[in-house]
Amino acid sequence: MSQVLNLHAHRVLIVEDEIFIAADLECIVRDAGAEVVGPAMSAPEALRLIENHEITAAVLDVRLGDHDSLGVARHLEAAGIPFVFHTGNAGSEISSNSWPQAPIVRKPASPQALLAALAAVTKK
Amino acid sequence: MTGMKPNELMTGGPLRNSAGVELSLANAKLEHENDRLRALLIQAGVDARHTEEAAALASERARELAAIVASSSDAIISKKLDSTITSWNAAAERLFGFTEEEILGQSILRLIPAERHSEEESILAQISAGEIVQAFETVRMHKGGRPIDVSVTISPVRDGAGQIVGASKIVRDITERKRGEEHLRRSDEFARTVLEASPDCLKVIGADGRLDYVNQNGVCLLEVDGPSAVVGQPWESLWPEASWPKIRRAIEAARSGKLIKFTAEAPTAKGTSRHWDVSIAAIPSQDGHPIRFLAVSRDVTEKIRSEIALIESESRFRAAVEAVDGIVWTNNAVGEMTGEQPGWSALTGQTLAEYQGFGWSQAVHPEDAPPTIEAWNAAVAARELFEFEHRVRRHDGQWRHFSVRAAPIFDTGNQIVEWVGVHTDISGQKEAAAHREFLMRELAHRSKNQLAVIQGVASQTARSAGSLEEFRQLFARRLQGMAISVDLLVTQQWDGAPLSDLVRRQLEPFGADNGRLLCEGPDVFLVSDAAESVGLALHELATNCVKYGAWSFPSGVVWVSWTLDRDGAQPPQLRLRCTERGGPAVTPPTREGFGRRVIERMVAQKLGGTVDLRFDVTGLEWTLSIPPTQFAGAPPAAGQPPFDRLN
Repeated sequence: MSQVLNLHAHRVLIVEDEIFIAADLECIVRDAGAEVVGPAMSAPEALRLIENHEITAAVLDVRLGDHDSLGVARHLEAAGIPFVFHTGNAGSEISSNSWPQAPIVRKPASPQALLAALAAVTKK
Repeated sequence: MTGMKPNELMTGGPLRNSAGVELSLANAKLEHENDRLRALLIQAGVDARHTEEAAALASERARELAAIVASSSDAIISKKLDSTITSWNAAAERLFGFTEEEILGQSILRLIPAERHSEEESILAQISAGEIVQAFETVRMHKGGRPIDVSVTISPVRDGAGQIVGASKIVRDITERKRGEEHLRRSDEFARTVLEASPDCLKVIGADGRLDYVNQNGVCLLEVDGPSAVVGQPWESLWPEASWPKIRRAIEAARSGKLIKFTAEAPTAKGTSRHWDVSIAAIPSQDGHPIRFLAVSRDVTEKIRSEIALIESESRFRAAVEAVDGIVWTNNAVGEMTGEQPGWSALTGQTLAEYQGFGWSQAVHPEDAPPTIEAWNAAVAARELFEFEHRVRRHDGQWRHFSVRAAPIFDTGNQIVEWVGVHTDISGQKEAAAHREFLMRELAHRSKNQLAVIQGVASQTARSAGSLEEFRQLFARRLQGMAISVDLLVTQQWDGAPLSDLVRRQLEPFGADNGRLLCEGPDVFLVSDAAESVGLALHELATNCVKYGAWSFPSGVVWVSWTLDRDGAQPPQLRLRCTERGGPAVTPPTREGFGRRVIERMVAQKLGGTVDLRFDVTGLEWTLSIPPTQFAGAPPAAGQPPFDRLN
C-alpha cells in the first residue's frame, strides 16, 4: 500500500446487511485506525447507533434486504455527517445529483478505494 | 317433207341422229324442265321418220313445237356455221334484249363479250365435228352491254343430207343460280372464317356422335397434331369416361332444340388438365342432311384457376385476420378511415362518425398522435409499408401500447386501392421487456454484490488462516457452505428452507456420521434470509467443532435441537441450540475471529434475534433465538385440501 490512510479519531458507522461484507468492512475500517460503530444490518439499527454514538463518518450499503439506507443518508446529511455509498448497483436508487457530496464506491471495491473515499469525505 | 317441218324452225333442214336417221329435233340435248319439250320433239321426229302419211300430223306437231319454243323460258337460238343468227325466240329476246327483227341475220358474236369471242371458234369446231356442247357455263352479253351468266347447250343442225349446216343453242339464264352459289360460297367462307377465327374449340358433330369438323384453334387446344386426329372419332372419346353420361345427356337435350351448356374437366391429348365451358346446339337438318351439332368448348382453365386462387386468397386473408393477434382495419387510398371498421370500433369504442377520416387519432395518446399522423401521411405519400408504435385508449379507458403495420393494396394499374392495417397490442411485450430489463439490472446488482461477498469471504478467511493451504481449504469450504444454502433455497423457489434439511446438509460434510450428529425439533421453515444466515452460522460452528470441539475427538457428538418457545403473550420464538459433548475440555478463545463474530453477533443481528454462547468446559453451547418474522411452521403438504373445503 503506497498511501497511508489515517482515520484515527474517527468513529465510522458501517451499514451493511451481508455478513461477510460487513465483517470485512469492519476489519478494513478498524485497520485504518478508526473506531467502528456497527455494522448495522438494518436502517432502524443504523439510526439507533447514530443516536447513541457520536459518529464522524459512515459507509452505507444502499439496499438492505427489502429496504434501503436512503433514510439513513438523509439523516446523516441533515446532521452534517459525511458518508460514502458502497453499492453493487449501477445507481438507479441513488445518483450523484441527489447526493452530490457522497461518493459512490462500487462493489466489489478494493479496501484502498473505500478508504480513499472515506478519507476524502472526512477531510472536508 | 312438206310444210313447215320442225327442223326448219331451227335450220331449215331435218335433224338426224348420229346414224344419219332423221330425228328432227329428237336428239337435241335439252335439259332440266325442258324434258317435256324434248319428249314432244322426239315424238314428232319419230312420227316424221316413219310415216309420210303422217305429214299432216307432223305439221301439226311442228306448230305445237313452234309454240313450245316460243313459250320456252330458255332462249332458243339457231345459227348458221358462219355464226349468223337464224332464229330467235321470245325468251331470247327477254334474255338478251334484242328483238327478233334486230338480231336475225346478225352474228352470234353480238351476244358474246369480246374477251370470249374465241369461245365461238371452239364451239364451231366442236359443232362442225358433230359434237354436242353440253351445258357449258359462260358469260354472254345483254344488248345493253351487261354480262349475263348463262348455261349454253349447243347441238349441230344438219340438212336433209346430213350435212352440218348450223347449230341450235339453248341458253339458260343462270344469273340467279350464280348469285345463289356465290352467296352460298361467301356464306360458307364466312362461316368457316368465323369458325376458324374463334379462340374456342369448335366442333361439328354428326348425328352418329362423331366429329365432322374441328377448327384450327380446337386442334391447338386439344393438343392434337391435326384435325384428322379427332375428326371421325366419337366426341365422347375426347372426354374422361366419367363425363360420358353428361355428354350424352347434353346431345339428347340439344337434339330437342335447346342450347345446352355445361362445365367439365378433360385433359388434352398430351395430358394437360383443362376445364371447359361447353355449349352445344343442334344444326337443323336441311336438304335431307341429318341433324348435326355444333359444340363450342371454351378453355376456362385459367379462369377457374384464378377463381380458385381468388377463393384461396380470400380465405387465406380471412384466416389471417382471424389468426392475427390484433385488429385489422382498412383505410381508403388517400389514407382516411372510411366505412365500417368493427375491429377498431370494438377496440376503442369509437363510433363510425368518431373515427371517420382522421378521427381515429383522437383515440391515440395525445403525445403519440401528431408523430403518428406525420408518419402516416409520409407512408401514404411514399406508398410504403407503415410501421409505428403508439398508445391507444382502449374502450375501458386504459392506455395500451400497440404496434401498427399497414400496407397499401395496389390494383393492376399500380394505383393504391386501399390500405390494410393491423394494430397489435404489445403492452404485454412492453411489460415483459421492462421486466426483463429490471431482471438484468437486478442480476447485475446481485452478481456484483455476490462478488463483494466472496471478496469478504476471501478477506476474512485470509485474516484467520495460518497458511495458504489452510486458506485454500477454509475458503473452499465456506463457498461450499454458501452453495448448500443456495441449493436448498432453489428447491423451494427461494422462499426459504426447512430447518432440519438445513442442519443436516450443512453439518453432514463435516463427518457427522455414525450417530455423532443428533437432531431434534418440530417442522420449521426458515425464510430465505434466515436460512442463509443460519446456514452460515452452522457452517462456522462445524468448522470450529472439527478444529477445536467435539468432532476433533473420535467420540464427540453434536446435538442440534430447536423448539418454538412462547414467552407469555409474546409470539413464539424459534430457539435453536447446538450443544457439543465428548470433545476436549473447552477454554474460551482469546481472539475474536470471523467465525466467532458470526455466531456470536452477526447472525443474530441480521435476523433481529439474540445469541447465547457458552464455553462450558464440557463443550460449547450456542443458542440462537430468532423472531417469528424469520420462520413459519412447515408449509402444508402439496395437494392437502384446506379445511373449509372439507366442510
